Amino acid sequence: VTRDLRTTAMLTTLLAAAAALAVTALLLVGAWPAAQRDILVAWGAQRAPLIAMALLTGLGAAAALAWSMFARRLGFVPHLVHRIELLRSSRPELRIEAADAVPEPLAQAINALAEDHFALRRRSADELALATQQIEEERDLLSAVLAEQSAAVIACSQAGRVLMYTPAAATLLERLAPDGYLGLGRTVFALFRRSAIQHGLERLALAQQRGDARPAAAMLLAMRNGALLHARFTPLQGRQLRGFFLHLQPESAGAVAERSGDARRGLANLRAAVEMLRDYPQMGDAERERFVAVADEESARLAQQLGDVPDARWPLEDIAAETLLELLRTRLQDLLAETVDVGTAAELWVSAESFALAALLRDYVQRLGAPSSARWTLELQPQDRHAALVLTCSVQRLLDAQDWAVWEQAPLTGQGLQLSPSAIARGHGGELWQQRSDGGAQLQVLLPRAELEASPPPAAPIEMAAVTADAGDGERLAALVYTAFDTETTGLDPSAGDQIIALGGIRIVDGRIRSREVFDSLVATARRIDPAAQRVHGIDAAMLAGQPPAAEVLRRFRDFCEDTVLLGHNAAFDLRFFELQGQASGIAIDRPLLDTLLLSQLVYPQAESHQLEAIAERLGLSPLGRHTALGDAILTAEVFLRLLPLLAARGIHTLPQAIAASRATTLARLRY
Amino acid sequence: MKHVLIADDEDNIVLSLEFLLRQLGCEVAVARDGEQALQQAHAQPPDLLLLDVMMPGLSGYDVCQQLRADPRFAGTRIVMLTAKGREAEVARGRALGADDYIVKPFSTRELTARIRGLLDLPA
Repeated sequence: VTRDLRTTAMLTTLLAAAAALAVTALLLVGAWPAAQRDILVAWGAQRAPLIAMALLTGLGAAAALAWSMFARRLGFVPHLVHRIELLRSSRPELRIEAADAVPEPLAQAINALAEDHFALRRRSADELALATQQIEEERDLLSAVLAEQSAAVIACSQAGRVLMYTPAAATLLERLAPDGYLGLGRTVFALFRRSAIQHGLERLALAQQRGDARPAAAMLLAMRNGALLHARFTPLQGRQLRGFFLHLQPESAGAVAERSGDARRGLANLRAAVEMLRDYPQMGDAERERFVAVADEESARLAQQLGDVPDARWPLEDIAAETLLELLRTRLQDLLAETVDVGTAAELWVSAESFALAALLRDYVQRLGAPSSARWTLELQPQDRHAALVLTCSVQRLLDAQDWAVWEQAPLTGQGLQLSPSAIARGHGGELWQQRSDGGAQLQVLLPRAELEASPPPAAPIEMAAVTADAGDGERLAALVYTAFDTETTGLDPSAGDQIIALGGIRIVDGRIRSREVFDSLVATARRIDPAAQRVHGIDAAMLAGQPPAAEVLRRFRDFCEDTVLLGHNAAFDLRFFELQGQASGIAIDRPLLDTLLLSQLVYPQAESHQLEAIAERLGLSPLGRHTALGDAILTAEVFLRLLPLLAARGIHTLPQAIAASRATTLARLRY
Repeated sequence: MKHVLIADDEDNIVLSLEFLLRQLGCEVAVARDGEQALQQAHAQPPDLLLLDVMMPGLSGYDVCQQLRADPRFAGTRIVMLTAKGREAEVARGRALGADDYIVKPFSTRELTARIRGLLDLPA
């Protein structure tokens, strides 16, 4: 800019001087008489070179004079620009001095602006640091409190994303489902059946609607692998359902009921034998010996069986009959269309596990296969200390004895429950049977009546809160949950049979790398490891002995990265391995993907290298633990977080934008 | 002489029940599971059936339900025996037509009294 300015100034001055001379000469000569002009022309013609020289010298002198004047007035500009750049970029303590030919008022104005600017910067940095420190202190305190909790609790957003969990929850779930992943930012649907969670939330919404002082819903919760838990849902954040807490406890009632039954049988045998000995002393020796032998055998067996026998029933929730019937009817709606008439008994309350009961009824209806002309009624009939849940089918059809026996004992896997109908009845301390009646064929489930029949059931029809969203927090790059990952392989050619031997992954939630949420596994392989590859990653065949096979590791990784965006460096390479090795076992890792190789090319189109180390260095990161799958995954995650603001500066804010822009890069054409 | 059928898969209780009923002057037959109980009942309809709930194959409830659906067994008294001892089971047994219900472990004197009542035996 300054060079342009200088050139322009110089040219302008020259032209102006030349023009002034020419005009002056013309004016003078034009005023003379013709004779004198002729004389002058003749004189001039004789001395032309001399005159030209004199003219040029004059012009030069004028230009030099003009230039020195310009330099005195504006020559400080290049220098000033340089000083301001320095001050802005790296030396905030620098000030403009008048001695540098900068006009005093200008220097003062610039310095004042700089003072204000840096004061503002310092203040906001201080405020930010203070706020961050406060937040970190609060977070540390909270983590410390949570770590001390012996209860297994998970806090979730309304869409089911995990916001927090206690170590006890992690331990419990790890024990019940070693393959499941409880992770921040993941949805709980990765662990539990969606229908079960939704049922709990509907019930919680119901409790809130009822205006309970401490709304909660207790139920039996099925994990995706079939394991069962007792779960209590409570609302997160005040009375509005912004999210929920899941309080978890292992299920145990079934086994307890079984044990107590065994003990009673043994005791019956023992008691009868002893009473025979007592009441019939005249019996023969042979008989006496047999009764004594029974007594010995049974008492020994009882002693062995004796353990603590807690309450054999599940911890059930008290629920108004009307509400229970309404919940069950909703669950049966799609099977029975509008033909279910709900019979109600006013003021009746029972203790029931509505989700399990719904599963039981659904399965029974499906198994029975009654004609569509059948009319159904569902009612709760109060009895002494029980209430019979009666499902009547107008068509006189029952399961035959054999089908019934099978159905009663088989887990309701079709309904997402690893519990059999008889186990459900047992969990209620109830019974289950089918019988004919005048009105039609009946399925009866005996339920305990609630001990405290508290407030009357709500009069208004029940509105269900629909909690179906699982959409996350939109598509903004900064808000998404990522799984950064990397593999190590036997060689560089997946199509020629090279295989994955290590797979590492780490999660980014809320723009932070979660060092406790990692995936790190070696993978068994039958293929020879290429020596060149081995020099890079240092993994040899001996290290892979006894490691899990690819199918298992890929399946676990698929679960680990469920609900997240994948983040890889040159991920086309890794994905080709996933594709080829997943095909064999039917495992597809099908998640949205961002590639730091392509993102780097977007941000630094001129750069020569887009290797991970090169990018890391460019972004001011020091590669630690490189060339392990997990180490590279972590570096990829760090690189990505540094790239985010640079992408934003280029107008890339959302996942679809990033994916589209990546596709347009030249490196996106790489294939493996 | 009254005919009594005992249906239970526990040898150790059958031993006592059989002994007890013979002392009461009954003719006793024993079935080890639900199927056998039905067969024997059809072969010779008993005056009294002592029916355990938990048996392999057909349960005591199944046996009870089938016998009650057959008018030939209208005169058969059915006493159900159960180890679970929960009211819900008693209610179920009664709904299916059992005459009495005895929870294990029971007193043999109490059982004797009930059997005498059901079979109209002299005390």
